Amino acid sequence: MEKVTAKVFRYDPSTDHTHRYETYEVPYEKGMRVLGVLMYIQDNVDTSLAFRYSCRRKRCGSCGVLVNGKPGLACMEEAKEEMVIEPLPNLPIVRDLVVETTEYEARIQSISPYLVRKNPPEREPEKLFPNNFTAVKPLNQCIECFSCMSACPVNGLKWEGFSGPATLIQLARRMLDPRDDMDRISDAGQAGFEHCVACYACVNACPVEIGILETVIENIKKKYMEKEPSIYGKYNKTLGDLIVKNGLVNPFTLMRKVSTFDKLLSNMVIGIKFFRKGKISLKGKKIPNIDEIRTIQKVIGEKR
Amino acid sequence: MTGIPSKETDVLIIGGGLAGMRAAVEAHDHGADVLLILKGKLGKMNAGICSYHYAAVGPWGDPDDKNELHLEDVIHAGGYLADQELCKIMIEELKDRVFEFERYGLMWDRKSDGEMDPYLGAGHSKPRTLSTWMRQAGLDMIHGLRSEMRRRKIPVIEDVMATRLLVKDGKVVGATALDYLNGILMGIQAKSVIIATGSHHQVFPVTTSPPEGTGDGVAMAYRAGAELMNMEFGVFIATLAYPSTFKGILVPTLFKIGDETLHLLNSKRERIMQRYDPEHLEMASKDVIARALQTEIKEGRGDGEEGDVLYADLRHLPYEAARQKLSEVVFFANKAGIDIKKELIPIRPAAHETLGGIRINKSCESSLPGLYAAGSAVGAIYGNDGIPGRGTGHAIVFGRRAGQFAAQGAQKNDRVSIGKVMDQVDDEKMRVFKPMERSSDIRPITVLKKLQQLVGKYFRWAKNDQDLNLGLKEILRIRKEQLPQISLSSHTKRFNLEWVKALEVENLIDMAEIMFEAALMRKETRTMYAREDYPDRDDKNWLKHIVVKKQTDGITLKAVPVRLLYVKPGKED
Repeated sequence: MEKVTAKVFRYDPSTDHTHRYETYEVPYEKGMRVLGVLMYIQDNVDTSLAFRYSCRRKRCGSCGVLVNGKPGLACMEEAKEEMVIEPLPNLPIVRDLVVETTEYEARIQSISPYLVRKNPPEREPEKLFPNNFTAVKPLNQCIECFSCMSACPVNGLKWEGFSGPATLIQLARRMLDPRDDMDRISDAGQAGFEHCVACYACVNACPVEIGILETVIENIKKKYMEKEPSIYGKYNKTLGDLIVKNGLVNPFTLMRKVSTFDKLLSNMVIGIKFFRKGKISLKGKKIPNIDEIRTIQKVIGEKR
Repeated sequence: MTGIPSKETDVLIIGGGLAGMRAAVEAHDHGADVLLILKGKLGKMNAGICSYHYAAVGPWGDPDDKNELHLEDVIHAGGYLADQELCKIMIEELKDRVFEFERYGLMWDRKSDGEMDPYLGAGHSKPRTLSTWMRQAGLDMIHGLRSEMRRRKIPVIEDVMATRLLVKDGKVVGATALDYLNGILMGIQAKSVIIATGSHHQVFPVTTSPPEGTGDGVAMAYRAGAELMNMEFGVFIATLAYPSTFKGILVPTLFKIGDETLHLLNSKRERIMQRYDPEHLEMASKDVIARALQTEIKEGRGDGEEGDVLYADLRHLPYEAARQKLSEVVFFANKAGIDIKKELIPIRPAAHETLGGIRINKSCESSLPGLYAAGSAVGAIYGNDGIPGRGTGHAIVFGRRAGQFAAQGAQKNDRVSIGKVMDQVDDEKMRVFKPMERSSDIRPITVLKKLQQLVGKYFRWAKNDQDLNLGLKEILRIRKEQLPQISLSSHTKRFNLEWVKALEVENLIDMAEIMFEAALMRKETRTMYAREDYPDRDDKNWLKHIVVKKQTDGITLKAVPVRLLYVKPGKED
């Protein structure tokens, strides 16, 4: 590869009616990153190109962009021969590849993203056993680059009922910290963790490889179930029962069985939106090997 | 004059790294109204984020360890040019900050029995260096402080570049700042101003540090008449050589894996350190390694187009152990397509940090009343080089003190309305908007590259009078001929980074000029500071700080004797 052809999203909301794509050719160097391509353009071809970056080593999380449709950090993504570079989706655009993240900052602020302790430790430094921090350690790696937020299909609906993976990481980070004394269950409910559809889009997008599903969502679910089995448990049980019984889930049956009376109408509206966008379907196919699932369910039931 | 949008606060903090955020938290806790402004996004734009360590004497490590020993280590590493009074304060306050960070949610590394797990950092006489999981102390400290900012709901304005201090009757009463998100200049009136804008390492072509480090705060303070010091000092270190964006990723030599270290090789594949320090080899001190690398390059034993590429060899090390101890280098070498089991890693020396900055006293106050400073914007109190952990420690201890004293100082002062300094605001508006209105084909990036090239060429680790004079002449020519011509390729006022760069270049030219002037004055070689034409340490004449101040007719420099209050220079170097 001798050169890289990059099609870059350009948009200045203060002067342009709409966005456009500019194509640039950049000489390739061994090991080149997307950030190297952007910097070459900014330094040598078009000095007006706007993008954010700082540390160049995936610590600051400020250079998130979409490369050929996939979110990632420009400093880490390898430059490809042909590339389309766009801003992270689902966020207001400041200019070119720079996006506005103020709304997410507000969401994170809403879940009390700090350690809360009733009493100070008896002595400092206190004894802390690394084994108790296994779950929380990787969460401290979150650099708030918002790649997961832009990859998440549920969050992508800009729906307030689900505050998105990055917010839930910050929540789980405190919830799983053995030192934290705050009851974070109602915040978890407010953040709408149960609306995660477990599609792994956030996990695949995370540049610091946080197991958002296993570590964050599953652990929040577990804590929630311990505390509030009624609402969330009902949803889980109904979903499982429908699968075992019919081999598929009719979303409207699920909704009717799970929603409380006051939520039914608003959920209905969302359901129809989902349906129109093709996110859910009534023509789903039955799971072919449903017998195996029934057997697994039976075995798990017996073990419990 | 139509006036400008203005804000008011008790304590204005400029900069959002370790020092700035720590200052904001402290000033808030002392009851002051606080406003923090920064270039870029909070918790993202700073050098602290890449730090590995923190060091403090405490109930961990060696029972015989004490603050006096730590103080000796720090002062020795800094070539006895430390401000010993401030260093003592720093060393004594480091321990409490360790506990504080755990209250902020950070967890220092623990052994399996639950006790702290300090290790022996390079240059420390006892194991007192602390880190966190994956050696990311700096990142975790930034995240911890960010949580505390959120807990206190301290107001922050992001994407703002401070441009000028407003001074009334010799006292700092606020600042102007360019909100480049919206393209407007704003005025902020404050009873105290804290500068925590970091260093000015962007004068160098390649650096380990982030791109925001353009000395904005230091240049602003200098122009307002504050004293600077240690401007002749910088730290040079080995970093990755390519690809372009990985330049400046540190290759730490001071890690031992069993009895082995990585090897530094030249273009003939000779082990470099055998020539310069056969006893310590790659475990030699940073200045010895910097000298070795530069001598190899100068004598033509480097590879690459510019002959400045040398190699780090990890092939003889057990892969798993290397991956753990040198995790960052191995990770990035892999990303660059280098198989460290079979191939050499190309490296080149780069600037690690600049040590010059605002001169402060015990209360973090500058020579200008009402102006405080903390972090890397301060002329390093530990002298001309440091040991691991001093950067984070310095930022946190003096960040906290700056917050405290600025809040207390604010109680004694009245706010001075922007209207009373409107002439300064008008002047500044003219200056800031000039590049936007001009038309020429000189772009900020062209001038910046030219400046960086000059500094890279003439302000190397080993300097001499001839180089420095040549460099200075060129810098002055850039200031005279190019700076007044700078214009922008796009005139949008929305997030125009080229506009910001135009202002940054002016700050960097100021910084570079002062660096060259101060280096011309210091005629000796001392640890990390080297002069080819004055190769010896000169304690008789140069146990001195060089203090710089702007006068109407230019720069004045004076040499102020170091006060050897606690530690005297030893016989050995």
